Amino acid sequence: MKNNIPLLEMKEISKSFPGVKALDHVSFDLFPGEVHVLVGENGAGKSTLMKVLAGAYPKDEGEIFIDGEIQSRWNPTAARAQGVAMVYQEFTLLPFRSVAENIFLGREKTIAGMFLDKTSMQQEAGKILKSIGVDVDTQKPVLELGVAEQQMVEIAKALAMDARILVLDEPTSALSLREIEQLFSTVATLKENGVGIIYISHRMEELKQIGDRVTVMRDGQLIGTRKVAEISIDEVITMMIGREINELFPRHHCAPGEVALSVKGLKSGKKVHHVDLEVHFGEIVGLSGLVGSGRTETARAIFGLDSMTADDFEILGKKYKHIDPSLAVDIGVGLIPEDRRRDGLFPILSMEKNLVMVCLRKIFPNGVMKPSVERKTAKEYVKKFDIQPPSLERIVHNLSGGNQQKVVIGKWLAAKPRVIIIDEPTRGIDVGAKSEVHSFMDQLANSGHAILMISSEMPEILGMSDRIYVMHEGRVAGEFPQGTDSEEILRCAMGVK
Amino acid sequence: MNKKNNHAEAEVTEEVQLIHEKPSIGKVLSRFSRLGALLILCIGISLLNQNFLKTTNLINVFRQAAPQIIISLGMTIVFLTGGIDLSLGSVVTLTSVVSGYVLTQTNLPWWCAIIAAVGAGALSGFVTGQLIAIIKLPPAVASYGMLWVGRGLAFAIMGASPFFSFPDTFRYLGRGYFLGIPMPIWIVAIIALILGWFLKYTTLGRSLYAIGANPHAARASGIKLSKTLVSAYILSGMLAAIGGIILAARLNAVDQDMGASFLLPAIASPVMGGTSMAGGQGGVAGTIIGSLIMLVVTNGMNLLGINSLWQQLVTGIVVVLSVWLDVIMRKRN
Repeated sequence: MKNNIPLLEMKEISKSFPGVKALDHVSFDLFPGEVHVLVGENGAGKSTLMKVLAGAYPKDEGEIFIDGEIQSRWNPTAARAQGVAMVYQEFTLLPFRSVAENIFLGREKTIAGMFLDKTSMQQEAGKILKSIGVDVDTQKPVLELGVAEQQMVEIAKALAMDARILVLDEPTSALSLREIEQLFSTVATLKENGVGIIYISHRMEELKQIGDRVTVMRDGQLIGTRKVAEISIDEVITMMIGREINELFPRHHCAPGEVALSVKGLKSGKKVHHVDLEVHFGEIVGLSGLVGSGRTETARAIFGLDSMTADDFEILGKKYKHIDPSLAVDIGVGLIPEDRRRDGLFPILSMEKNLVMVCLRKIFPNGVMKPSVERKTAKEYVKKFDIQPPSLERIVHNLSGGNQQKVVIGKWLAAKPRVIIIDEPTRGIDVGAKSEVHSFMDQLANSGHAILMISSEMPEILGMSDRIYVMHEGRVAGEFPQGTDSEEILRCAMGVK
Repeated sequence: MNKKNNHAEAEVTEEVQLIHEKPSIGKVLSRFSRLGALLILCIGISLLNQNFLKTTNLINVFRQAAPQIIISLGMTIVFLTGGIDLSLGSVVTLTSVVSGYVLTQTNLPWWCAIIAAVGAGALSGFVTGQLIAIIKLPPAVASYGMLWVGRGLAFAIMGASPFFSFPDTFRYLGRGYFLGIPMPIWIVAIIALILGWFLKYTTLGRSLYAIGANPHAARASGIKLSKTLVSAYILSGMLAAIGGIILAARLNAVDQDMGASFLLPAIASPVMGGTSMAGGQGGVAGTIIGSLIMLVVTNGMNLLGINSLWQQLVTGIVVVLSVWLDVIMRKRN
């Protein structure tokens, strides 16, 4: 079965975004009937590579070969025509339409070019599903299927488009153990049929179960490709980390003060099961963990954006049963959100209006604003954070990512919170702005603020934190002092003992 | 110590070199494009008919426009939050019927009628707001429901016979003059000033824009979403009530259908005045200009003796053209 010509070969692919080199001469190949696992930390470049493969991002450099033939024009249509299909974590099925309708969405079979040929669609859909060992009623609306079955329909949809290169992005993250088994047997059937599968996962045990080869990426670079049979999980983890911290972090550690925020037994929604944590004044506490481990949801629960319950919830020496964002603002808690476009900015409003939005009710307690005071406050933060261009009337939609982040941080600091939760402080901003944000955080902590920092970037966690909590599947799985080895943290985050 | 700090801070902030970006000609043009359109319209009509520019005609136009402008201002507030209030026409009917009831069926003084009407408007807005903010109905659905509730209540209060012949003190609000200017114009002016100030210089006014601009960020910034939304609908209900009072006072009678015709112009006027239905953008001045454009067009057509059959067609074209002009201007910037 081993064929010498790879189904897919990506050679020396590079891709840059403003300020970031997301892919740096990465090569990747895939043989028919193979499961090639792609691993790497958050932000290592896996999804960028997959988006290049799908044609969603144009590549800056490099070449793509299919069946050994060079592909000169590569775009979403060409990728689909060559049989590339993606199954993402979020499904793209229409919930109220039937299984068959979903499988043939956009490519419906018709009679005389006008009428839907339901019978033949159902038959065909049934055939495809059977070929991957799945037995579901093709007339059922997708809504009534379980998560795993929905995923199978998603895969069947890809196969109906004659997919030969199937990308499964974290396919097991939403599945139960039994459902995972079902998925794996489907994957085995697909292999027999000669489909090549690129499998992205954070779960190390799955690597051994279904992978043939594994490729490790880090910081947009290819670290290595190995046969799964010839490598241990420990070695894979070392490859994933294996980095010296070469960025300089401006953290001046100081002795922590009293407890500012203390949470015990925090539960919220489906992602936060049991979180205990404590943040002291003068401290930056890092909250690490993989994507989906419940870090952001923990922050949202503490700030009152999502409903929550806790055995004990104490902020600035006072116990609270419930909290909502406006109460949080009043008692001096700030949340600088992960998704700044959604939760942080008012894109169509001016910089001045954005900067004073949180502190308005504090500086004008009787509800009547004084334009001169408003302007002065906004000016102060433009100066403090060196926001460019320093034009208060500028609509924030038109600012660069780094400056938008500074506006969001400035907006929060203007309200003078004592406890600051900051989620991914430097996501998507350039290197210069990054180190500026880091020095603000250092100054804030050393001037007596309590900071809880969520970050997916290991160097940031290690470089900025006084203490580190690691979350795994909705729980705080470990607490580490400053200076802990990154490998230990990653193991804890992955649930590897 | 504290003073010293303040002083130091003041010094620091003075150093900031802010850029005051000079607005481009295009931006200035687009800012005044609506006013310009209104002026061109007026000049055009006055060239065709000498009577248009006469003070009596202009005052007359403005007086008739008063209820429409006030109701449109109510809609503007709701638009700013990204919502819509389809019940406003019904609220006009309901509140004018309530005032008519108090004036003719009870022995209460005339100002009780005003309080009752404004109260009814506020209550209706409160219910609509609760349906949207607490029960999370889409604004169009909640207010459409309230449209029928308002109409139904108006019918129930009125029974079979309309209310008419109100006391002179009440009619003064619709027909009287103060310092040579009709009362409705005074009322519009006062409301416009207060509302303009409210939207620009109060934290609640700013919160309305914030919610319209980005409800998620507004909540995450500590703005009380439900409270703010409900106040927006209460305000718009109260404004519709004031419109209803002026209308009742001018007509000296109320019936079950008097408010319905105000709804669609109340949607069109803010949009023509540059208020975004998606929320976060717009204001009082634009809506007044938008309402005036529509009324000047109608008045002009009457003066020019255009067949009333064609008038609606022309109105439709004017609405579309003026919004189109606005879209072009915005795209250019």
